[in-house]
Amino acid sequence: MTLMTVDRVSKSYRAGETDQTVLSGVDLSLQAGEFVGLVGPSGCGKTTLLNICGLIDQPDRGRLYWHDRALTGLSGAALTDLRRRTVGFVFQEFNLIPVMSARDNIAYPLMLLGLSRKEQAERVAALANAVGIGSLLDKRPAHLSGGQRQRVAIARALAKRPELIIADEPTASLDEETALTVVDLLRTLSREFNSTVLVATHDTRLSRWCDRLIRLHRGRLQNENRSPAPVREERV
Amino acid sequence: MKWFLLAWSNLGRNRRRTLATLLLTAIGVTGIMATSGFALYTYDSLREFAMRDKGHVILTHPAFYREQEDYPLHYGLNNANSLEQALRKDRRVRNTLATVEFSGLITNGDKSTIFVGEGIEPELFQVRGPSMRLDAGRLFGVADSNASAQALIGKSLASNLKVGVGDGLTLMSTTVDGALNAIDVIVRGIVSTGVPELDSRLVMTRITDAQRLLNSDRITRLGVYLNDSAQADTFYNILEEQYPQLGITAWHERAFFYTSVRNLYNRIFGVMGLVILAMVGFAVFNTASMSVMERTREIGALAAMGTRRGEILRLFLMEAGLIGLLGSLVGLLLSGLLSVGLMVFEVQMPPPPGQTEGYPLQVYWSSIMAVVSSAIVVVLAVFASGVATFRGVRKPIVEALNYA
Repeated sequence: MTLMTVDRVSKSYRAGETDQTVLSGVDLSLQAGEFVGLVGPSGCGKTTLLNICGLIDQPDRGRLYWHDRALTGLSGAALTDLRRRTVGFVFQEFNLIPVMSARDNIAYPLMLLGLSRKEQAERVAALANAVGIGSLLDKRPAHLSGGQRQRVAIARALAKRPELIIADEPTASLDEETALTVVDLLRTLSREFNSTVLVATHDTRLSRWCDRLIRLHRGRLQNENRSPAPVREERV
Repeated sequence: MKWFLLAWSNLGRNRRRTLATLLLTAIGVTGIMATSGFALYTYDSLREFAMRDKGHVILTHPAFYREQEDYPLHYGLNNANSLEQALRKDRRVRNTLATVEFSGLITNGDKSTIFVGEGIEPELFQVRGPSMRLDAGRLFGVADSNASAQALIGKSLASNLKVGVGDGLTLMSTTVDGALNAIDVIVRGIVSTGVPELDSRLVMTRITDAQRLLNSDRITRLGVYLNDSAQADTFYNILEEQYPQLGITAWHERAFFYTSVRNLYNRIFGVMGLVILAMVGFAVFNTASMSVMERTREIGALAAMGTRRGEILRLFLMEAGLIGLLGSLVGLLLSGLLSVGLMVFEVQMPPPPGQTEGYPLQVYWSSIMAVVSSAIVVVLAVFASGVATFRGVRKPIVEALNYA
């Protein structure tokens, strides 16, 4: 089942006097539950494509479809509500709320959804145990290591059981061993919740975990057809 | 509740800055409470003084305050005794005081000078309370009304005429018929009103002596003193209906000093209040601006997760509101301590312009002002924060997430 379709999306930014094209006619289709890696050199437009897919940026041209429903023309408030319910984010710099404990950080998206305290507590406990930070829930981000913070960020992204998880360089700030553990966690849990994951990375090792790998070069997709024929690589 | 707790936690991000803003807010509220408390104390004192001076309601001839008299007691009141008796039957009336105003020359035989006289009833000093200081001698008493003509004179006048208690003086004035009349009086006491100009002219006699000098049984005015000052306006309306043939004047219509001071203080303290509020507003604005700038990436992350802009803005407004509220509470506490402290440790104020006596400084702690000033400070803090953060929370999410 197709979760999101990106149809000939282009995006450019104003750089001084000229427009710099970042994405040019990108077509992409994300299937429910798949783990998709987005790779390419710096400045190729990975983050821009992630932002557009994560509904936090708008394309200049082209269309986006969510479950075959066109998102074009949707108001900012409607997009916010859609993100609130269906999209989770894992940022490179974690972006945890420093004044909240790990528990409250994970529970934050659930609070936005209006879940009861009991439901929040149950989901937080389950996720915390799953990512291995069950004993650290009362600690604030400043008292956690980089790996622990990213685990909290993954738990936060998964807490609302989103249909789509956007992860922008989630391992960039982590050491090798921690990075592999974190990606494995993301892979396992997203599969458990049947969440689609679109992850941008420089890390070639990460490709092993991907159902499909998309290469972006100078704003254009490589190895990606309009009718997706996924590039599958052997999983570890 | 979660939002509130989050806002509360956010106050602890930069404790020094939060504390500085909170203290400034507290000082602002203390300033507002202290200045308004001082103004309220002054208004209250002057109101009491004005009411004690001439009464809560003043009865005169209808033309008395409108037109100039051609001769003494031209617009005087007849039948004052029956009017007094009728008024004193009312349970709301504490007392009535008839007064005769007159002027003329006073002499010790060698030296003469003009005087401003007041013929008073002996109860005056009990009814008015401490309105002047007795420097020597005695005030009039109710019991010794049959004694020979006596006078209380101002301190400077006594000094000018070189007389003391027991010395004789002669008062000269024109009668209601236009003839010149004089009576001899003995100095019974020397008083000080605190107003130098008045102390150099003031002569007070019994009302009967004044009437004898003016050759009339009329009085200038009848002051009605009530048991409850709060009933002054109501009683004024009743008297207006009851005595349409008389001039009925409310106390505040003749309280010129009270009105002038009130107008002046309202402006001075109003401007001071605005300056204080502006100071608080800018402090909160600055704090909120810094906070938004420092938390731009976080705002981006919150928005990306689906937090509505209104919710993010509300979070910042809550933080500002909390600072305003906490600052107000501390400010109210400080102003309360100041108020109590001034009651315990007396601080003497210098004499106001045109007066010779100082007065103890007091600052009222008004619950109405406490609510009003706190509400204004909280609303102002929220408003200032709203202005400071509005643009910050509207920043595009991608831009916010990439904010360095």
